[in-house]
Amino acid sequence: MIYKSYNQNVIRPLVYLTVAVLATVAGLLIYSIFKFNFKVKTEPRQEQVQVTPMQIKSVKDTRIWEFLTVNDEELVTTSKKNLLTGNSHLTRIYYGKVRFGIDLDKTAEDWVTMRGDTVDVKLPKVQLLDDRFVDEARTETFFESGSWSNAEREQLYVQATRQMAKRCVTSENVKQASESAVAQFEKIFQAMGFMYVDVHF
Amino acid sequence: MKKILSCLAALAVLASISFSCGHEEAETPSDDTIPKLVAQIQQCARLDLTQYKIHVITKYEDDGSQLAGSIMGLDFKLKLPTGSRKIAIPIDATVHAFIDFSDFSDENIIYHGDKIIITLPDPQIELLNTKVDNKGITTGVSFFRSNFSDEEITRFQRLGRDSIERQVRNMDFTERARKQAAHTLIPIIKQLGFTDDQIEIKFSKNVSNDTLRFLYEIENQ
Repeated sequence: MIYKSYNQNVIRPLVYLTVAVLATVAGLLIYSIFKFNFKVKTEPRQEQVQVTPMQIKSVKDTRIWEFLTVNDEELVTTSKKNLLTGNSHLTRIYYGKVRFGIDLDKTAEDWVTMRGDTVDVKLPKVQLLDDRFVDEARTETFFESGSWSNAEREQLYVQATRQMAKRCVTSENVKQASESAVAQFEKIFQAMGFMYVDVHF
Repeated sequence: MKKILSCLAALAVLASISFSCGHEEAETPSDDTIPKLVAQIQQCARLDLTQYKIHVITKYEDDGSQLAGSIMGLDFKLKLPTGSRKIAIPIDATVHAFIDFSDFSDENIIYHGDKIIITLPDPQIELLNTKVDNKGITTGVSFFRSNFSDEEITRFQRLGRDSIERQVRNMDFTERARKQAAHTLIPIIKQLGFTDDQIEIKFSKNVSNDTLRFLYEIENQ
């Protein structure tokens, strides 16, 4: 009995006091809106994006002729299941440039010879010029749900590289690049005044 | 009445920012058209001269939201305890200097006695490819903030790429590329029967007045 009356004696005034304080604060707030022109808003975050100065890691002189360029775009999708968040999907658009041509470092020493009035040009086989052809920093996110780790993004890049290679590294493109190589070398040597040019692989 | 409603709305916003983990506002895409996924094939004739491997780091940082307002004509700002977010993205790029032979014709060649003068187009520079070091991406996100979305990460990557393109335009690559062009072409011309002192290679830009006069005289002989 003593315990119950103690509770009633202490808690009830506290409840009254809390209600009174809240009512006063609300009243002051409403009063200040009308009387003192009280305004409040959230301001956007201050964002800073910086790119460090460019570091040249290596420089390499090359002797490569490029005869065919394929500018490609690939839509790459991945998904995963999560017990808590359900299915997650990520779709990105990757861009890349697949180049075909010849490396003059692979030519024989006498790859250009004069045979009577004909220039004889023996070219090495047309090849894919770059190991890496995806322009990953140009990638766009097309759709995303859920969260994705950096390892999963790397996996998506590998998938994009595979897709791009499958679409662009074809025998037809190699053939087209070879034909372009023949035509361009003929044009260059004919511009130098040689009427007869025999370009072959 | 409007003021009461706006006040309640402001309080609701304040409550949602202060007491929830908060989801970062999604950016609305500027372009809602579905991109055309096509491969464009282009025949070309480019002599690749020099390749540069380049490295940059894109850094992004934001601080938490703040509450700003005024009471009795006095302005106040209150930083909300939502914390900051940081990300660093390392990017490697390959850039190449090349000469475009697409428009090369007999107009680029002049014979003067037993001498051959070849005027080449000036070297150009271009970004070939980029590789994001995905495993090297470092983030720091406070407890009350959401992680970086993929949309944000790709946006920062594109900013890094744009910066590379801008910096590359100011690179001094021309001299090295010109020397390499001469190193590549002179041996080919020598195999056609010319000697070193019979070959002269010039570039279309920065040709001196003496050279221009010399070329003009030859053309008018």
